[in-house]
Amino acid sequence: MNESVAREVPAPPSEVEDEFIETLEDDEQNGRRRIALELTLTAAVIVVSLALWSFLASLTSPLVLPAPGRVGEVIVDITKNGSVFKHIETTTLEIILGFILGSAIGLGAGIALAWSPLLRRLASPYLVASQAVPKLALAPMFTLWLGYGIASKVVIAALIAFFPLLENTVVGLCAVESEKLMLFKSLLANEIQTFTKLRLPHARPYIFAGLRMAMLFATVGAIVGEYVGSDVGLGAMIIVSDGTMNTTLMFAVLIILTALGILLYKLVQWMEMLFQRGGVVARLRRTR
Amino acid sequence: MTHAEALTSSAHRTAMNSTAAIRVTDLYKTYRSVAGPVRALEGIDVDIRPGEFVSLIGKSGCGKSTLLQIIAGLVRPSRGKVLLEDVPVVKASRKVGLVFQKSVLLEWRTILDNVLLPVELFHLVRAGYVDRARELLGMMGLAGFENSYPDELSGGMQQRAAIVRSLLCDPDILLMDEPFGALDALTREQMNVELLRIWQASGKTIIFVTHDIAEAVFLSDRVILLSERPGRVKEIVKIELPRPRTIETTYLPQFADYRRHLREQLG
Repeated sequence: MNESVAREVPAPPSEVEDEFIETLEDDEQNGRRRIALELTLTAAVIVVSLALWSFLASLTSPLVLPAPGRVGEVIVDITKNGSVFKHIETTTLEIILGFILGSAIGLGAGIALAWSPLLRRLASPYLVASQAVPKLALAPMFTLWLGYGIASKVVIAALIAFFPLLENTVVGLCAVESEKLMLFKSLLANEIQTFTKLRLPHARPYIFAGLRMAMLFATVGAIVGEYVGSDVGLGAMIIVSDGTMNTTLMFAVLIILTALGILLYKLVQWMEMLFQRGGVVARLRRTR
Repeated sequence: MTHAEALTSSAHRTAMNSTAAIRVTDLYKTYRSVAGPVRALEGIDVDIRPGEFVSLIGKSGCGKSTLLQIIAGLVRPSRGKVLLEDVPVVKASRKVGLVFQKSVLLEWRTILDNVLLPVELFHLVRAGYVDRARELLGMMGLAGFENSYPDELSGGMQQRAAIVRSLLCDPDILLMDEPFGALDALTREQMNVELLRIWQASGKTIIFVTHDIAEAVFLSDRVILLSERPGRVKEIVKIELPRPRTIETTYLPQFADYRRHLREQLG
């Protein structure tokens, strides 16, 4: 008797549950189908572009447009004989140092400006001026001052990398909702608590968006610095290959450079994931 | 007042005041604005007993939120003063818990961490409050959501978490600024019943700002009606409905009478 009741009672919810599971399975299937479609499309885009590239290359001289196969061979060659690695190393070092320097300045200045409205008013005309100047046009000047070594490239990279981060830091720190500030005031929070527990976490997504931009800008800065005057680095390689009419090598370097740029961008994204809610940093803080 | 009385008046007044959890005397608030000064509050005098549940109602813009913020020590009055348990309010106090219209949870913190925020900001030891936080979350039907993030909860659940946050450090006074204003009618009804349960169990003094007459009647010992700007106390209505109140209370004829009276007074 009891058993039959027990069997009867849960019947309606289990039906609902079945339906729910069915929709879940549908979702899962849709998801899998979507991923498969995306992969197919991505592959198709690559194949079509390569085919188009090959076709166009067959119409012109390899001096103008080298065939993708040839470019691939050159990439394999310079990787195998190892000649490309010192260039990759130098350029990567310039980008990373430029990124770190630029980010430190951008973040530090952003925090200072967010803290003091007076400072913000005083500094903003100069900041705008520093950005209105075509910074890349200053590259020869930095080469003149700092020489042909990596220092001039690091400074150029830092100079164009710091600004988006500064802007984003100021906006992120100042855009905290008034209700949240009111809550902190009602809980007797001091300035430092309001900064570390409210403004900074609120600004986190803004700051990381700025860091991603800073990394891309630092890449541009380092390469332009190398264009102006350098004998090592991927930018220098491009200039050399241009001078020797080695278009195939130039394409190979451009592809390596693109891959490097994507990798560095991803690096910032990974860093962001560490700081995300529920991320490693948040978990460490909780156990402390 | 005679000379002798004046001499002893300070001690005398303290004894008198000890009956009031919140005493608002001759309070004025004028805001400066581009269009000139705006008088928000004018000559407010209110005494609230310990453990009393008082609602402030009035049309929007009548200064009820301003009054609450002055009592909370977040806004300075232009004239007059507020005493909390005989102590003049000059800034926010740990004795006061605040609940806003929005839940104001920090979206990067879990519910448990959000609820524990006051403990951190007061420099108290977190470990001493975790159990209490879990217990209160359980009481408010949020057991199992400790490690969820605010955006994973419904509006009603978020507001409940905000109430837990305001209760965690056990303030004597709870100031609530239209806390259920953004909730749907059914959730709101349920929250009102829960709030009364907590209030009755804890004996806290509550000031509840609302523009919903039925809500004010249902919850309160007294309803303070503010006039349109500048806000003055237009009438104080004592609600003598039996407690504990339930949804059944709202069907009583007296309930309808109070509602009608307040509605007419509100104009």
